Amino acid sequence: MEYTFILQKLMAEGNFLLAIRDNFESLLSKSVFSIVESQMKNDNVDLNTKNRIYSVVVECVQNICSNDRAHSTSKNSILLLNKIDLGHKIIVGTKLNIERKNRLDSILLEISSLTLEELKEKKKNIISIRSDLDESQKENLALIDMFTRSAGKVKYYYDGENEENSFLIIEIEISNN
Amino acid sequence: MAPMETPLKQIHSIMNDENAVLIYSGEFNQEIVKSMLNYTEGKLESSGIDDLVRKKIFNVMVEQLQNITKHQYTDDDKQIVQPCFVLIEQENFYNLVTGNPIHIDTIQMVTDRINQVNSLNADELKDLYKQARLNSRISDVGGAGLGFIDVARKTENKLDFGFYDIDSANYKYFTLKTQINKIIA
Repeated sequence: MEYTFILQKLMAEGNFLLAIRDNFESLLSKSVFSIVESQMKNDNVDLNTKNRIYSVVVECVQNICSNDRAHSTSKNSILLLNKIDLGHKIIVGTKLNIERKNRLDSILLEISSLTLEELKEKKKNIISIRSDLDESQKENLALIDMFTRSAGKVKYYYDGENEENSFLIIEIEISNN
Repeated sequence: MAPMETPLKQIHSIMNDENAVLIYSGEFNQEIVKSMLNYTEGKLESSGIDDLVRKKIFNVMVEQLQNITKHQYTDDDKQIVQPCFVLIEQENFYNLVTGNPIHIDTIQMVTDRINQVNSLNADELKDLYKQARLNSRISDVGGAGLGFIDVARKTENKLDFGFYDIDSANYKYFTLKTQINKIIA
């Protein structure tokens, strides 16, 4: 049971408040956020910041971890909330097959090169194309939302890769207003 | 030399190894406790688990979280450790694990109480519970350990516990693990 003691130390060391490992099959974003919100109440976080954090949590749970839902017994996605000096950081990690990795890779590469204005324009274009969005368009919108809500403070990398799977980690920083 | 793993990677790896699905580390208050109970309830509901088991998990979780809320602080100048709650889902059971600082003066009493609880069968636990409740009405001291008896009765499993050294002359870190079977015998 030493792992509890080690986990507590690691959580404190990294300033993490919450870690959830799941396949997020039941869209628990609201209840995930209620834990986050309770914590933020103590820190007097303003409403606008809370809303930005909530939107990012929803995008993470509903659109980034969504591929995991097909495998009901797997818990290959992780969501962490990290308190940083000037705000909060949301970290999402999810296992990707090669096809999704390539798709997300190209979306992330393109989005991270755009300015906030260009991102807003791209979002408008996607929404105006058609009402029924495909997976790629949903992922595009989710990632655009993360970039705009964090004013571009998004970092992504892969932790562990082999020929079949990669583990993508995205860190989104939300500064206090 | 191999690169040092970040806390994030280490947390993820321990969560995978131990089948942990939720970790909360930080201050515990009524709001936090309520939201964690809501999260777990939603999770259990969606997993289609038996109502009786769900109720058991919920009740034991309330008991353990209230206990952390009560014993999360130390008298030391600075808070050197954070209380912690971990939910573990295994194939046949759930574990609820809590961690909080404990004053070294109470370690022996807690150890004796848990060992006593672990040595009793269901009927003996029932008697001990009645006796402890009666004592708790007479004095606060007599009620110490009532929570352990209650949790052991509800889970019908032994309590697992440990104490770990921290950077304090007066406190250690106390971990308590309970187990609730998914299928009731």
